[in-house]
Amino acid sequence: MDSRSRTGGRPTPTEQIQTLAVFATGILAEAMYVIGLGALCSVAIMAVLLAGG
Amino acid sequence: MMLRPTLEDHKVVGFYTGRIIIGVGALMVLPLSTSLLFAEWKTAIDFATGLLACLAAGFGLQALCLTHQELRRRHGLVIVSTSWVLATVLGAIPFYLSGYFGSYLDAIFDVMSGLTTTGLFLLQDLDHVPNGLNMWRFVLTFAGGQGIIVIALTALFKGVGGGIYHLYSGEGKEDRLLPNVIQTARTIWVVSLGWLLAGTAALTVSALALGQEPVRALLHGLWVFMGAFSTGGFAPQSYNTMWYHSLVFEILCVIIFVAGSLNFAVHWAVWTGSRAELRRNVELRSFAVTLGIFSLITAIGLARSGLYTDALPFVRKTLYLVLSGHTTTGFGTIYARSLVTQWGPLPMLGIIGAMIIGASSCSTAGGIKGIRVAIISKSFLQDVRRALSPESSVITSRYHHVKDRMLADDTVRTVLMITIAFLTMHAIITVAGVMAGYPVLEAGFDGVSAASNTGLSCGLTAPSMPDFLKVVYVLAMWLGRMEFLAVFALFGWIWSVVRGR
Amino acid sequence: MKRSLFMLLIVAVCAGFSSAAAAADVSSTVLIEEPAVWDGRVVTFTGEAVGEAMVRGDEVWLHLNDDAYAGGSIASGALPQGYNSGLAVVVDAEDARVVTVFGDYRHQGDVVEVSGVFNAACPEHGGDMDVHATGIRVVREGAVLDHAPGTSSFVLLGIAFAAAVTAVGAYLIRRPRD
Repeated sequence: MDSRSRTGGRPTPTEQIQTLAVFATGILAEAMYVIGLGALCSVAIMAVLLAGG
Repeated sequence: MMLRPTLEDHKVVGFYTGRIIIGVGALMVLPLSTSLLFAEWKTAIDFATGLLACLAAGFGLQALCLTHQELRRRHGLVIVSTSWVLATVLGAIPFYLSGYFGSYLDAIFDVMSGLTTTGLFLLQDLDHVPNGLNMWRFVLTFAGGQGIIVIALTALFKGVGGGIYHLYSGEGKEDRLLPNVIQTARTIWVVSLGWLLAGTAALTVSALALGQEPVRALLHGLWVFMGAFSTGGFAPQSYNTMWYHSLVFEILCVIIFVAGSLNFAVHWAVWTGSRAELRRNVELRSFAVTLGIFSLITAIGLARSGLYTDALPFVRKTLYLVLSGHTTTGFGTIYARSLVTQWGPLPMLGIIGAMIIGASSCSTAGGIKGIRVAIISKSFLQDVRRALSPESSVITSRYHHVKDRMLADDTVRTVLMITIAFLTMHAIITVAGVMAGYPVLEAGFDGVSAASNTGLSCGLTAPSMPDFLKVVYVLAMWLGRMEFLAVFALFGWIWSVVRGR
Repeated sequence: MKRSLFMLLIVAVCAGFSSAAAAADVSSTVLIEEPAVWDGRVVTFTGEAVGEAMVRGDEVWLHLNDDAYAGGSIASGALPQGYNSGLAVVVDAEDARVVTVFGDYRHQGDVVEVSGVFNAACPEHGGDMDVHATGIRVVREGAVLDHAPGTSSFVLLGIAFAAAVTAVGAYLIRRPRD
């Protein structure tokens, strides 16, 4: 049942670091997505203010 | 007519409920050790009492209900519901003993609000609470975000057969990240803990720079992270996130609560390399569209009020509140009453709309959820296309959610049913608020906030509100989080005990 | 009846004058409920400093609570009397040093009186509602709070312990051994 049994034995330190790096870039990608979404929305909101509602 | 459950059926429910309650009790170790660490002896004793009560209930139930019968579908949903009821009642023990609550009902309200990641609270004098007590609020909300069943699945269940999926899905989560449910539950934890490390670190550094002492910065960093990622909305001070007066801190909060509102399956897809999921996922597209609509409504209302004349404060306040509502988080950077006394009706309606829709399914968020909005819109468009096409042509729709899917009629039926249930609940809870004597817009705002598990308030929710309304809110938070089915399964179970054959 | 109405009118007029005075003494509830009325006016505000002073360059953010707990928190034995209520105040970093005790579980904070301009949505500070204090003084010094668990806490702990031992025992006895 354990996922490790399929790859045979415990992951090596290098493999662990690689997994960690992939996860970290995943978090960064998500953060960048949020910032992008927020930036787009900010522009729209700003336009409303400039148009005076 | 439903079948009357046998004694063995009750035993299965009791046995697994007992096991899950032990998991809930184990969570109390965190606030207990926090209060020991800070030498808060009275609080530590309250948590030890709560923990022992959970062990007594958990092992007691398992001893009474020892059974060899397998866990089946008809048990799954009932186990989830009874676990939530028991977890709420037992989790309220340390709250009530602390003396910070007006009644046991108030304590139950806060536990339910925490577990359902709502964020409304009835705790009084929050600015003077011990660290252990604050820790319990955030552990509740963080655990509730993943799901207490998910916690139990990760730690306490080994090889209990196929019925286990029904435990998992009963908590409002349908997507399996991996073929095996227990591995799915563990993966949910990997994602949450990964974010916990990154998010807490970022917030703590920011809090240090904002002038907090190291220990307080770490606690606030951890707690605000837990409140944000679980889309819960609890904050360590009564001022909520207005406490920090910082643009950077607010941006970090937004990143974390929007991340928390993403489907765990999307997280997992992105983490394992398919970045394109963020662009292609139908649920995120739906979220982007509705976010745009409700931001504009709110912005128009606020621009007309003339409250924020400068661009930066205007964008900052509007986006923060709308995103907080849309992700069903409930963080605020204005006073609750400011919604009524400064923002006015149109912005409030914009946020109500955002709260009703909510964020992603299989996430920590509440509300109707993006995928349902997307499916209903797609199905509507499909019908229009059908009407305009020749009779012989076959019109189908596809959407992308982790993988490409065909729009099936029975999916649409289920989606519409739950959507209608949500809308009905919002209507009922608003009427309940008006019956209690509150203005309709305020009753609608706080009511929708509770039922969509958001936690923004315009000042209606307070320890002084009528008990009947507190009960209605507790039920609404629960129904919203469970997405109805599990709760009604419990009612059905009780009904069939009385009237079944 | 007529006389009492007349008295009421006088009181109302006096109240009106006093609130129009240069530095009106107001509560956070009034300011939050009627921000437009008070926006840009000089107010005097008194409350318990809670949490911490957050230093930002030559400014400090203070949070002053003027709720029921400013005189005694639940941590000090008071009964629950509603939510906290207070205001965020910006003070010059030098001036803010007079505040030394901040309210939390272990402390009853200094009660501080500030006077300054009230901003319903301060453009300088990201649109937050705040008071830019020009004057600040400690009205009452804070104190360290002592918490000793009462006997009832221990009694409940004992009962829960007994119940847990019984339940675990029963489970261990009935559990199938394999």
